[in-house]
Amino acid sequence: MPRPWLVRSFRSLLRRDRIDKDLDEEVRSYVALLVDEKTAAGLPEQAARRAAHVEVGGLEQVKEQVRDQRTGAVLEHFLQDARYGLRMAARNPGFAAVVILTLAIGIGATTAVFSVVDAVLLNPLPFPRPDRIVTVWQYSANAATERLAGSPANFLDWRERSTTFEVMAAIEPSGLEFVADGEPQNLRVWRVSQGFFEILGVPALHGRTFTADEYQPGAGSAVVLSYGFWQQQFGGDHDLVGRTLAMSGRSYVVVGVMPPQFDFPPGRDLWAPRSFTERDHQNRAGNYLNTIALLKPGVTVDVVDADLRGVAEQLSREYPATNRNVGISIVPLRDRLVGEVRPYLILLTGAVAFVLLITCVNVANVLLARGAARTQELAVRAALGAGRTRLFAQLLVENLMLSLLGGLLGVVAARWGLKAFIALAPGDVPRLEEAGINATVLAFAIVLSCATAVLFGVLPARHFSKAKAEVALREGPRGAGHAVANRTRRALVIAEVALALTLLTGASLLMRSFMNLVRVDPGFSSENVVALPVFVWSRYPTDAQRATFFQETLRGIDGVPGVTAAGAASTIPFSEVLGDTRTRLTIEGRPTAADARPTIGVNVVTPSYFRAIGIAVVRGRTFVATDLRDTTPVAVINETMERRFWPDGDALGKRIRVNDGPDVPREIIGIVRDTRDSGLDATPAATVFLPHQQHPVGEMTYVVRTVGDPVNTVSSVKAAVWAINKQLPFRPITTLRQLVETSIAPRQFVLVLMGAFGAVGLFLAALGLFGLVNHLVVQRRQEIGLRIALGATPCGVVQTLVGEGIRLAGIGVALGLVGAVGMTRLLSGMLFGVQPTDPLALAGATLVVLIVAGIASYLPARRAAALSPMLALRTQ
Amino acid sequence: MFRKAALVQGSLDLLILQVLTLGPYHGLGLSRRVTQVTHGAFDVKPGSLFPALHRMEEHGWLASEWGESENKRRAKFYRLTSAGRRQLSRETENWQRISVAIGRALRTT
Repeated sequence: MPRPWLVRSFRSLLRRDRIDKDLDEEVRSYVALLVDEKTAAGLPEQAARRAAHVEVGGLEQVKEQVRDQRTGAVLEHFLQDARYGLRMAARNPGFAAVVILTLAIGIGATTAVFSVVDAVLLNPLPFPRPDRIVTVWQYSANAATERLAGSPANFLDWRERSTTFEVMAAIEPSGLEFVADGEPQNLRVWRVSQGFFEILGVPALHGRTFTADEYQPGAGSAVVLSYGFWQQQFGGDHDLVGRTLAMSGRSYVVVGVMPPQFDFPPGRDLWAPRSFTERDHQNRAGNYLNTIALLKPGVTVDVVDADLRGVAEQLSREYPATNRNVGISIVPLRDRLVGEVRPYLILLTGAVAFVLLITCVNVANVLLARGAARTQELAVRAALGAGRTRLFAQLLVENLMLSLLGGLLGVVAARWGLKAFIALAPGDVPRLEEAGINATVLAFAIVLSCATAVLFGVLPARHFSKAKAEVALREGPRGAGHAVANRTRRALVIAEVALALTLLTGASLLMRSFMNLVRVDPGFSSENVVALPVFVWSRYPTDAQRATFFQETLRGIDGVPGVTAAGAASTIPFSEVLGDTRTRLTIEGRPTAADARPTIGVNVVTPSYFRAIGIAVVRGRTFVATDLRDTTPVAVINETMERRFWPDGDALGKRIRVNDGPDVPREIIGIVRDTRDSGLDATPAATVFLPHQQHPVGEMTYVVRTVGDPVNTVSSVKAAVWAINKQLPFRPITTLRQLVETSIAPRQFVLVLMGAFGAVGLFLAALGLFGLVNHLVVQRRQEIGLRIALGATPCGVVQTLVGEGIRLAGIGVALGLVGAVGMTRLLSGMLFGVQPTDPLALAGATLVVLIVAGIASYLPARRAAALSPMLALRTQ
Repeated sequence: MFRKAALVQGSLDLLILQVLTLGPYHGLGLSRRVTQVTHGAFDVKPGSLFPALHRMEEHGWLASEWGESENKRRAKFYRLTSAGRRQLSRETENWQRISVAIGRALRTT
């Protein structure tokens, strides 16, 4: 029975010395017998000996052939080469350090980016059936397919009529007031309908999730806490389950606590049951229910689409007033969660791949640079019987050793890089907290190291193993083989420059975009303004109460020292949408069908809001304290709205109706500047402003402008509000500046990383160029010495060498520009105000590369100029 | 290249196994014997002989021991094991099947 391969390998490995001795003896005995045979045939002894050796060929070659045949050969050679490789590295610590550090940069950066991509994009969501969970949306077929949350009545019909889902559940953002540490707080709550926890399939950490009874109308007094809130507010008290908490003037029973990794939808403190009342069954107009659903096993997208199309058609027939042209669509939960960051991460992955490529090219270059010494040594080994394949393998294994060491260091670097990544990343990257250097990432780093070894090692290994032994031995370190090596090295340097240029072009395009972006006028002034959102619907149920409350509190805030203006609005720029901010518009004198009425943004504001946030008036006037409930209903519109509906600029005095608030004709009394509400790169939406006194909503944000840093004034502002109602909690308070900064943070982050990658790439390319020119100087020392002796000026010599460097960089730049134009198309979604072929960005990157190339060539070239001709001529 | 080598290797294995049925041989003796039984068609060089011997020994088809040659030189002798005999009958059968098939093919076309 043949022994398994591995066992045989190890056996022959262990007995190697004995076997080798045995083999040696055997071959010698063969020769001796052959000589005997030939002398017996009458040849004189010396002739017989010579003839025998000719017949056998090289003794060493024969032995090597036998060794190659042995089962353990592969493993044995590998270990031998690995040892040899490490010895070589130890013997040339400088060389090894350069290679290993370079590789550590490339592998480290790639591993760090991979660990993020793995956690955010590749890892399945932390639910048992992640691929079957989808989000469900409604959209209006004639508005440009905007995804809208479902209305309650629609949700109920979807749930009842669709056949392709196992369970469907609604999620509604909500809030509860809670007094902690003596201050009223607003807890962030998700109200979830029956089936929510079932879809996600995650059980409670302590206690339980809701029972069917708790989802019944009128039952809703149970809550499930998030792990974070439980820890932070109750110190992880195990006895909390079953106790009651007083919130918003009612008592709620804590029935369970969810595990720490369960943060869905993200960023809330607790979950409460959402039940459906008779009013919900009638409400098809308010779009505020987020819907998730579990697909039945095995149903395809086509089947689901057909199912939902059927439901949508039924509803549009039955409820034409609200549901005509309203479609239903699904988006996989994962896409919904990470869809926004995906393009950024893909871009970074591409950029880091470039860095890795440059790293490989650079290392290949360094390996080739050691050509002279290596070729001689390898030629000797070839003469001693090593086959070409064997030499090739040896060189690859040597490279693998270097690469694995680089990878090891790279993983350490990646840990550090990942920390920096997380620290720099904008706060809303989903699932980033799951990223870490785990087993998958380690496996990736190892595979990457091996792949890198092949990538940077094949070219030099091929080059050396092909070198003809006799030629190399005869020609010495200045032979024709080196001309080939030099040519290869030039090509590699050109490739490095081209890759670096592509990266830099990407970075400079992003830089230009970012500069364009921060120069955008948002339409308001974000300096020294703080925003304090409140929710008072339940405290002040009547219109009059709410109108009075905001009037009185604003008067109080106005009295706070340091406050220069204070107003309130239902929606403020750059913040997440608070209330329902869209409405249907009817213009008096332009009859339109109900479902064809245009949708516009609506913002309910107090008179001083425009001054507080710094929105300029273009024409007419804004609201004043005398625009009251019983005076003429009025409205202010923004420029975009006027351009859209009154292109001739005659909106003032026209009358409109909106279905938000009292349905009365309103007179347009003023036009104000556009604000970029949803981001500096977003186009302003047509918006109508209504006076709070005439439409006193209960969900408002105070906007307070102060003399200095508004943070210092926040506590006095809060106190002024609490003077009117000391139980009122504030929602998270931010400055407008923070809101603007948060909105540009993702771009800034990608820009910083692209810039860093570009800089690393450029540095490595410069290193490659430096090495090449340096090599030329050493190699052509004699020639340079001769030239100087013959009257060439040192300056001329430097010029020639630097010219050579710049020439190579120039070719690289030309190739890189072609590549860049191709690659930067991928960027176009992330650019703002520049074309992918923006000449300034291309020229800037080119200039930087050429300057750096000049410096990298000048440094070694300078040494050539200092050569004394006599010394140079004598060295050979 | 690999294919051709494999074919030659296969026939060389067969010849070595066949020759060793006559008794133990050392390398040179084996090589000469092969030339003899094939009427000079095969001239086995040490570069292919030794790798083949070592490989077959590893497979357990051959066993080797040091002994003394006719002219009193120390030499390593190879002999067939029972596994080697089985291998020989397998390869012989195989070879015959192939040669019959090829012979037939050459006749008919």
